[in-house]
Amino acid sequence: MKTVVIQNESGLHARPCSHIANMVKNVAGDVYLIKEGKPYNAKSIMSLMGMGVTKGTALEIECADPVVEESLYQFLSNLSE
Amino acid sequence: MFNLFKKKESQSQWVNSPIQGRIEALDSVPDPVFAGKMVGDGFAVKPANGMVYAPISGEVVQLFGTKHAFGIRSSEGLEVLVHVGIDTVQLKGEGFEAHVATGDQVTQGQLVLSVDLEAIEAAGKSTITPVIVTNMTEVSELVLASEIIGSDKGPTDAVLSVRMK
Repeated sequence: MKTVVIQNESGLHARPCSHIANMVKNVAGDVYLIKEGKPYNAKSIMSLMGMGVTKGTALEIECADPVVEESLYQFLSNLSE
Repeated sequence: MFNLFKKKESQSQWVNSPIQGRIEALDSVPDPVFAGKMVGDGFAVKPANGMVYAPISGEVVQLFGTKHAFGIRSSEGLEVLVHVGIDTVQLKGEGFEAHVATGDQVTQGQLVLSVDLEAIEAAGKSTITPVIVTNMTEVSELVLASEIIGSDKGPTDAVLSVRMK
């Protein structure tokens, strides 16, 4: 499990959420982003947008596939728009 | 619990236009995330005014802090996102007023947002509003009649027919 702090001004809005859901949709098994101990299904765009992630929010990544977990971590670490 | 697995064939649901305006195909939206259907399938509306209504009945599962978008989930499991304008997350709520809160139950045609379209345009953003089914993996059929594209529709007009799996 990796932890990342979101750095972009707009947080997780439609664009990054759709990107994340597309990244993980083929993972066999569950993928969650965890905010303040609460897991959100990363395969659901609506679930991700419902997290209300803003700049400075810390997220844990729980992913059945370690390669996808690493790319999720990289994507979330480098969010800039 | 077990009757979850005996779900009968679901009925089509209608998604109305959330705003009075001209219906456009998604591929005309100037944002590849929506035009490329990365978020899901649906339609867009070019608003004639800033009154935004619920396109389906259900629970407001997400109303952004910036009030530029909201999602509703129907009791049948259909999830619809209304995203007012393009890149409007950058306006940080300026020009947007919400009339409901996350977790509220709304009925189709209920007022959800009042939006200052001139403020969006003054900020250099498009007001075109994608209306997107975000859980396409749970949808068996989605129909947007071609004659609806380019026509003027409002919050009492059915635009998109969706059948869940």
